[in-house]
Amino acid sequence: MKVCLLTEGTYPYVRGGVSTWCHDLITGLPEIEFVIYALIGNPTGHLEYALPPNVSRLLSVPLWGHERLTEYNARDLGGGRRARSATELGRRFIPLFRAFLDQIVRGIEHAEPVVFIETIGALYAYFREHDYDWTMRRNETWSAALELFESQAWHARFMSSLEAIELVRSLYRYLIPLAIELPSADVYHTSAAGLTGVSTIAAKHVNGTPVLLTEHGVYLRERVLALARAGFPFSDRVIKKNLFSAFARGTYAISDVIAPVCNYNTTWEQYYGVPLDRVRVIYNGVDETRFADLDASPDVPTVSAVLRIDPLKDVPTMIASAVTVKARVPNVQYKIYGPAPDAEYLAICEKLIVDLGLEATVHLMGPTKDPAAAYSAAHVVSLSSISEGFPFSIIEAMMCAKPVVATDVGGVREAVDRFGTVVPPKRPERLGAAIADFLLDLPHARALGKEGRQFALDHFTQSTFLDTYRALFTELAAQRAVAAA
Amino acid sequence: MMNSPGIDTMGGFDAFEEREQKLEAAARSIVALCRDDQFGRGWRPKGIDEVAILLESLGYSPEVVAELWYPSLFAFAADVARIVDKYVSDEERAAQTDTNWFTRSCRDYAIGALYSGPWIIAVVGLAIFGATLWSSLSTPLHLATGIALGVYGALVMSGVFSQAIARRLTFYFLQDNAALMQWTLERFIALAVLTFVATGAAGWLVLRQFYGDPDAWLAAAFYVGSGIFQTSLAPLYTMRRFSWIIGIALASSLLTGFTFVGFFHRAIDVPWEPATLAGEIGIIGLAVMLATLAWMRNRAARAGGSHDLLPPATRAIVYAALPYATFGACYFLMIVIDHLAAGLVHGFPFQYRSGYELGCDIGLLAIIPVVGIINVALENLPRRILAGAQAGIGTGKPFDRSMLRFYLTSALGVFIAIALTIGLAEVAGQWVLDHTVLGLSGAGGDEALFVLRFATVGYGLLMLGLLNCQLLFFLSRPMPALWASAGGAATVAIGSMAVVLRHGLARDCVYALDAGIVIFLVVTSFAAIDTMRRFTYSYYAAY
Repeated sequence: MKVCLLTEGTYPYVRGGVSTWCHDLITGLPEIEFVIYALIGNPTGHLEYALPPNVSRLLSVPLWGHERLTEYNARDLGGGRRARSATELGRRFIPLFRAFLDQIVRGIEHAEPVVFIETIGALYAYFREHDYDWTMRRNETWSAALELFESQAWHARFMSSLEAIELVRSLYRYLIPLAIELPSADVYHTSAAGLTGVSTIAAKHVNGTPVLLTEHGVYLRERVLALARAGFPFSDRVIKKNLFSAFARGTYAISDVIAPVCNYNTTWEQYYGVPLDRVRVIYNGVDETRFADLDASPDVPTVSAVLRIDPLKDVPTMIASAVTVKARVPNVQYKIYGPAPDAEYLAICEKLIVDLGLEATVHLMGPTKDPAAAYSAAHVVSLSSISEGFPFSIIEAMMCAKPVVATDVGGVREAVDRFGTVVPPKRPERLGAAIADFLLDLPHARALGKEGRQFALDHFTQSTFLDTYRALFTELAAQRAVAAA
Repeated sequence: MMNSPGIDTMGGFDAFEEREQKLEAAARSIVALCRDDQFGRGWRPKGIDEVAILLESLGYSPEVVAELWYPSLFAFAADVARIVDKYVSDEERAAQTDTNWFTRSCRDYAIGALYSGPWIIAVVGLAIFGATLWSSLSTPLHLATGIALGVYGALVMSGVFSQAIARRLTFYFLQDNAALMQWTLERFIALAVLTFVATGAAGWLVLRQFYGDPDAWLAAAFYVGSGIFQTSLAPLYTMRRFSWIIGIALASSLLTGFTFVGFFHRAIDVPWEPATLAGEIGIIGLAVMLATLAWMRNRAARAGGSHDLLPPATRAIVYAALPYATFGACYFLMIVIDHLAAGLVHGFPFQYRSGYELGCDIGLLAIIPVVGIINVALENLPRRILAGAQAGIGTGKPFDRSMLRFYLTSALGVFIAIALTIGLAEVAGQWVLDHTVLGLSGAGGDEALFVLRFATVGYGLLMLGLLNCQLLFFLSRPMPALWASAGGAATVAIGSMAVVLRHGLARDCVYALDAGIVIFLVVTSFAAIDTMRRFTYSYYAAY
């Protein structure tokens, strides 16, 4: 059986929860052949994981950082020179492109996923024969986009020329997967309802390949949040939001099974129109032997966190919580482990530590390859994210028999259950108070940690996780075989 | 959808009021979050889901939402969205008045003038070694011939690599992609050095058939040495390391000057003396290249390292850089072919023609201040784009019109500067040749003055064409520039050939130069106008 696993900005180039999940899935199912189809931001990513032997191909598609597709994906364009025909452009492409734009300009409330899916499928078929770079840079393509924007009263009034340019340039980047020849596979498994949707929709529409979607965070929600916080201008933001919404809804519509990593995600999925009969929650699992209860207890009250130093993790809230904790537990030590891909954000965190006079209390430890040791060396494990799926760091900490104090986002509440404390996000005082409560009652913390480990053993083991996916892949591949027969 | 709370259980209307205050606070938080976009304008969230997402990120968890008697985050968001709509308007803030344009323009002009710094130093350096300006008049002809051939070849070949490096490096420089800048530099620099050495050796083998050694050696030494030096500066221009460039140019001049005065001038006889100094320049160029590479490697390492980098396909990169590289070759061919032809009018092989060279060299030096004006225009371009592109798409084509106006104004500015320079050259040329050490007597002086008069016009128009090319390159449209330079070079070649074959006067080659440059200017001007008049599309398609 061959599975094409689609990732976006994660495996195998970036470390993090989704990448860990991908790696565990592939290494845990050695009998299945995997093709990794990785959409990456730019081509300077490092291969952060050694690819397991059952990965037969890594297809990396950088969306930015190049002028022409041939710079990185010449071999993935189906071979041979693709046609450049102005006649075909006007006759076939422009109507399709208009239909596509019409869907994304209309917005989530009025878009029709079926039309969107058919348009994406037809565009993929078009680009199998025609030159993508040439087509997308033609004046006719630009004019079609501009005409559509101008036909909308709101955009005609407020969208500036620069916004229009940046927006259509972004479309050129986002739609690059349309030009990439799809790898053959029995099942397409996408790790997000995002830009990978272009390929999954095409695979489903053109080849009828079964599609499985695993939602970690709710992709659309995180993109909208990022768009809002990045300060994009109004029209640009609205259309991009609609675009991501269309990809998400299109992916939901063509997915045979949608497997969120926690129940929380289903709330949003339902809001975006996913029928519940196709939803199967599959919790993440961790290796209970690797994350064991070592009965370790550091000499000083210690709080650990293993996360990416990233705005979504809201590290400043965690840092600020130390003020509250320090007032009650003066010798407390915070050890925050994790990579810092955003240097600017790291600088903000470092400055906050200095501003709050916490240099001797809060320590940014950098990335760790041994998170189990980081958890074991703490009394309490904490997480301060403003958005999460079903975070590994929580269930890993629970497996290590540590009580968890985390923000109430995503599936955190489902994982922590009664074996820790959840507090609203962006409330450093409440986060700090809950941490201090545990540090001042270590026997209770210890007992709760042990109960949490048992809960994790019952629900979040790697073997359960792998068995469920093995069965799901088999089921979907069988569907395809039946359909083919 | 708002749930109606029971008045009894909530303790009267106060509870309603408190709830409304909390709703108001939530809306204000959203408004505060949405205060500015990257263009300094207010925006507002679109749709209930976006408000819900923002609220959730602000800490409105299910627990908090329930405290406000809402059944879900979405119901809460619907009410907050209604309040937010009352708050936010998309008013544009008044653009700040730019009072620094004069200072900025002076700075841009100075930077533009810096571009020519190394070139001026090179010309003066060559003068010291007897190949340009006054010194070429007293230098043995066979030495000046060798040096000139080397320098012409180096100009053309460094044009190839400088343009290719500049194009690709600019692409990664604007993305601040240090790892790929390092990758590009390593390959292009290695290729450039190998090409200079290989073609230098090949050139030596060919030239020694006609000139014999050591003159052929001298030509090869100048070709390799000055070619590597000029190519070494290309990455620094691209990365805007102007202080480095000035430092390197000054250090090179001082070093070669001291070596010349303190050692070679007495210890080594011509022609090994200039050849050794050409080698010294080449070694300096090589050192600059290695230092740039080391600096770039260090920068890439700080940015996360370049190991496991996904390298682009070399073939695709070469293919993409080819039009720029070919333009570089054609451009410099266009301005050296006439020199070669002038040296061939009295028969094969080429012999250095000092009167013709003197006229051209002074003309070129005279026109250099215009480069600063071009730089002012080019530096102003991104600012004009940002300012002009704020116009709405539904208001006709004011952006396109404003950019065409910008181009025409810039071209006019450059043209006026050229006209002034030509006028100055016309008035001062005769006086300079008559009253300074540059003076030539008799027929040589007449030829130099004639060439100076026409070459200044040609080089002036060349600068205008250069402005066109820079705009076209900025918009990723190299082909018109390439065809224009190829057409220009072909015209100069054909015109010069006609002069040579008809055994005409050497000075007539300057007509061919002017004709080629006019072709270059006309073609690039049409292309530039066509591009600027539909700037919105051109800018979209550029990247």
